Formats: sequence, structure tokens, C-alpha cells
Amino acid sequence: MNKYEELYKEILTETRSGQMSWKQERKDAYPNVVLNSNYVRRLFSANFQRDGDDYVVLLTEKKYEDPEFDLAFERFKIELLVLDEGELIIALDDSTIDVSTLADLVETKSDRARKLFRM
Amino acid sequence: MGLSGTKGLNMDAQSSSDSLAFWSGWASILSVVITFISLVLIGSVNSRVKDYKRKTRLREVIRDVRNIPVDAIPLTDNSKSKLASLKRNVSTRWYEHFTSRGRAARQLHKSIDKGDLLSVREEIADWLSHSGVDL
Repeated sequence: MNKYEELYKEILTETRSGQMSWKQERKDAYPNVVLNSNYVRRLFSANFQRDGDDYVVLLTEKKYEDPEFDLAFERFKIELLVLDEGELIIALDDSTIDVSTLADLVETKSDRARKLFRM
Repeated sequence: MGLSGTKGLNMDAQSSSDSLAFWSGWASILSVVITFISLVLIGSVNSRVKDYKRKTRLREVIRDVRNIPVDAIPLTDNSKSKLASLKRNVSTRWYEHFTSRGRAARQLHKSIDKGDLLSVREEIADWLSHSGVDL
């Protein structure tokens, strides 16, 4: 397991246990790191602690045109960003980790989803 | 007068029938030519659409491979599948061995097999410089 997988597993475990609470943000809440906010469908953020240091983790869902069907449909690409004092440290997507597992979890555990489903 | 008139009428009928046969023959030939040209044009549009889709797919795969951090070692299953996809999409045919593009593709395949991400990035750039795919 490489260091990115370890980090992802930690975030996933903390999200499952409820230690990390995810908040649904405005699409343009982080203009310096989440570019082209008009392509963003949803943006979630959470605070994450590691070795006593605080980080902000963002989960973005961005739309893009799908070439498989003559660009007739839109698909959504998910990215996991880790920020330290507003600066981007790493950006991970499905080319490194299976980020869709976390996205499925966050979708039902975010503050707005909890309110909607009375959780 | 009567006989010669009938003969004249018969000759007119014969000539219009010949002319009809002549022009309908040419019309058939013309329609075959038009059909053939249409088929060629449709085939050309179809192949352009396929080329465009292949190019877009290749761009997508290259972007994904470039997104893998170089120190993400050992490779995750996701990274391995992206590299395998790149290998499938960059073909190496035996007759391309003698071209610089083919040699760059072979080198890229070797680096993918080794899992050397830094070399893969460099060899993608090399291969692109030979292939004319604008990214």
C-alpha cells in the first residue's frame, strides 16, 4: 500500500466512523484551488487531523463531456484535494485511488443529506 | 399520303423509344455513380468520427496516467488499469519497429511493464512528438 492509499484509507475510515464530518459548500467556495466553478456540480469539505496538524479535505464532483457517446452525455469526475492553510498539497482522482467509494459515502453523510434524511 | 404518314408516325415512335432507352441507360449509370460517391463520403465521415473519438479517448487516458503521482509506488489497482489502458491504446506493430514513432511506442510499453512512472511520462512526451497527436 503506498502513502496515497494509506491517506485515503484513513480519510475513508474516519468518514465511516463519523470522526470526519463533511459539509456541502458553495460551488465557488474555494476559487484558488477549485478552478472553473461553473463545471462543479457539488463540493464537499471536511477537517482532517494527522499527527496533530489540521488539514482541509475537499471532494469535488466536476462535469465533463463524455466522448464515448459523441459528447452527447455528461459524466462527472471526482477529485480529492488536501489543503494546508488554503494551499493545495495533493489532488487525487480515480487514476490513483478508488475515490468513488468515498464520494458515495459523503453523498449520504454530508450535513445537507443528514438534514434531508433526518439522520 | 396515308401510308407514308403512318410510316412517319412509326418512325417517330421508334426514335422516341430509342431516345428513352438511351437516356434511361445514362440515368441508371449516373445514379450508380452518385450512390458510389455518397457511400465514399459517408465512409469518410464515419472514419473521421472514429478518428476523433479515438483521439479523445487517447487524450483522456494520457491525462489520467499523467495524474498518477510518480511516487505512488507500489502502484494501486486503479493506476495499473490506467497504465494497461494506455498500453492498449498505443499500438506497436511489427512494421513500425523501423520508424522513430514505433520505437518510442515500444520504449513506452517497456516502461509501463516496469511500472516506472517517471519514464512513462517522458516517453509519452517522446511518442507524442512523433505521432502528431495534438494534446
